[in-house]
Amino acid sequence: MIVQVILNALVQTAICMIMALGLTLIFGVMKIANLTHGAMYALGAFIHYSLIEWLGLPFVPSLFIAALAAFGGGAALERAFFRGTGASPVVAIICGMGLSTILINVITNIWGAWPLRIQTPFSYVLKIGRSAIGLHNVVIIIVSISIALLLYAFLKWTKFGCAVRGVSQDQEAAWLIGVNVNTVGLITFALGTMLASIGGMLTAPITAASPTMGGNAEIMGFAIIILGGMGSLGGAIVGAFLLGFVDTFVTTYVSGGYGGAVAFVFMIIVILLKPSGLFGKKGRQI
Amino acid sequence: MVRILDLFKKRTTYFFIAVVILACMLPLYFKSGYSLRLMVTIGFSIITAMCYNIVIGYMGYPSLSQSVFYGVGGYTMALITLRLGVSPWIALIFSPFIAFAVGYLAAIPFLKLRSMFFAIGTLAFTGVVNAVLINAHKITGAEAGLRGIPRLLKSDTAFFYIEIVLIIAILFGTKILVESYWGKILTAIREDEDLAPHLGINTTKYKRLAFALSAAFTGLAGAMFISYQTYISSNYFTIGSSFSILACTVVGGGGSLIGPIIGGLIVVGVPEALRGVLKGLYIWRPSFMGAILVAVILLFPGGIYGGFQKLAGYLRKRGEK
Repeated sequence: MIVQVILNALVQTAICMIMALGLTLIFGVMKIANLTHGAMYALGAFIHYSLIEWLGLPFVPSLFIAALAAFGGGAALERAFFRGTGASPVVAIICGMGLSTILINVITNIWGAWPLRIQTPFSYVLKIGRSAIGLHNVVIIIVSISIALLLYAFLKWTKFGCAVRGVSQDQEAAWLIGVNVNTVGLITFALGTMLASIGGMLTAPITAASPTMGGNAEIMGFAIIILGGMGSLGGAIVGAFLLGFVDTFVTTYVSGGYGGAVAFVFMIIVILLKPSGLFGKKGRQI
Repeated sequence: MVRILDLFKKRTTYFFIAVVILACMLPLYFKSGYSLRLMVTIGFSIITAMCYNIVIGYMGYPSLSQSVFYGVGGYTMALITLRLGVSPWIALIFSPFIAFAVGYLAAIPFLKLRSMFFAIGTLAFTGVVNAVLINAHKITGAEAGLRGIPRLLKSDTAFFYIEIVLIIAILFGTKILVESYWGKILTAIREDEDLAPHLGINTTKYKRLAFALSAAFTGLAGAMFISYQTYISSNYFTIGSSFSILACTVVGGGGSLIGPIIGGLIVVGVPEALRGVLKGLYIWRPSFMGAILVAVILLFPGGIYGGFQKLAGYLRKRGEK
C-alpha cells in the first residue's frame, strides 16, 4: 500500500513540478503572478485532443505541435497584455483573471463542458511488487525530470539563459549591460506557458480534460512557488516534492476533497511565517 | 445645517434625486417576474461591489475573498433560520456581526501582505473556505445546497425597494467615511503605506477595521440574497464569484462613489438585458465580463467612471481655449 501511495505521490509531484517551473520562471523574470497559467494548462490539453481526434495525428507528434502552439499563444498574450516587465503586479493579476475567464469560456464553447478522454499510447501497466504504475505515469515522471534538467542547462550554459538570470536578479542592471529585457520577458513568458500546456497535455489522459481542470493545478503551482520561494527554480522542485507528497497522503488517508485545501493552508502558513519562502532571496519582497 | 443647505445648490443633488425616483418607478413598468428578478439580482451585485469598493478602491488592497464574507452572511441566515427555526429578521441582525468577526480574523494574517501577495493569499483563503464548504456537506449541504430558507419579504418588489434603501444608505455611509478622518487615513494607506505610520497613523488598526466593516456589509447583503433565493449552495461562493464582484467594482471605477453602481449595471445588467436580443451569444457571457474587465484595466485604470471624468475634464479644457 505504502509503495503505491509513494508512486502516486511521485506522479503528482512530477505534474506539479511542470506547472511550478513555468510559474516560477515567469515570476522570476517579470515579477508578476501569471493567473492565465491554469487556463493555458487546459487549453494545451484541448488543442492536443483536437489534433489527435480531429486530425488523426499520433499522440507524441501532436504533443510537440500543441506545445509550439502554446508557445506562440503565450508570446501573443505577453505582447498584448503583459507587455515588457513594467506591468504593475496588481494590474497583471486582475488582467490575468479576466483573460483566464475568457479562455475558459472559449474552451467551454468550442469543446463543450463535458470531460473529454484522451487515449494514451502508453497504456501498459508496470507491476512493482504488489503495486502498479501505468507506463504513462512513468513517462510523465521522465518528461518532468528532463524538463527540469533542460531548463537548468538552458539557464546555466546558454547566453540567453544567462540574460534571463540577469534580468531576474536586477532588471535595470541588465538593461545597462545591453540585455534586451523586453525580448527576455517575451521568451520567458512563452516558455512558461508552454510548460503549463505540457502539464495539461500529460495530465489529460489520467484525469480527462475539462475546461476548469487548470484551476486547482494553478493554485497548487502557486502554493509550490510560494513555499519554495518565488522565482527560485530549486525551490520550485523541492516545493513540488513537499506538496505533491502531502497532497497525495492527505487524499489517500484523510479525504479526497481536502487535498487541495491542504495546499492552500500550506501556502497561507508559508506566506505568513516566511514570506520569502524556503529558498527565496533574503529580505521581505512583499 | 449650512452644509445640508449647500447641497440644494448643487446640480448633483437634483440629478441624484431624479435617478432615485426613476429607479423607484422601475417596478411599475417592468412588472414581469423575470425582469423584477433581474433587477433584484443586479441590485445585490451593486451592493456587494459597493462594499468591496472600500477595500479595493479606497484602501487599495485587491482582495479576492469577498465572496467568502458573502457566504458567511448567507450561511448564517440559512443555518439560523433552518436549524433554530427563528424568524429571518433575527438572522439578518446576526449575519453582519458574524461576518464582521470572520472578516476581522481574516484581516489579522492577510493584511500583513501587500499587493500581489495579498491577492494570492486571499485567493487561497477563498479556496480553503470553498473546499471546507464542499467537504462539510452534512452542515452546509455542499453543492446540492439547502432549501426552504424563509423569505424576509414576500414580494420581489419589496426586495427591490429594500435594496434601493440599502444602496442609498451605503452610498451615504461611504461618503461620510471617505470625508472623515478615517477615510483620509485609508487614502493615505493606499497612496503610501510606508509613509503613513511616520505621520502617527496606526495603519494596522484602521486597515483591519475597514476590511472587517466591508465584510460585515457584504455579509448583510449575502444574508438578504440567500433569503431572497430561499436556497443556498456552495456554488455561490467560489473564486469565480469573488472575481465577478471584483469585475463590477473595477469596471465601474474603484475609489469613486458611483463607480460600483455603474459597474454592476454594465457587468451584470448588460448581458442580461441583451439576452433576449442576441440569443446565441448568451453562452459568451463570461467572455464579455472578462473582456470588458481586461479592456478597462488596461485602457482606463480608473474604471469607466474615471475615464468619463477624464474625458469631461479634457473637453472642459478644450472649451476654455
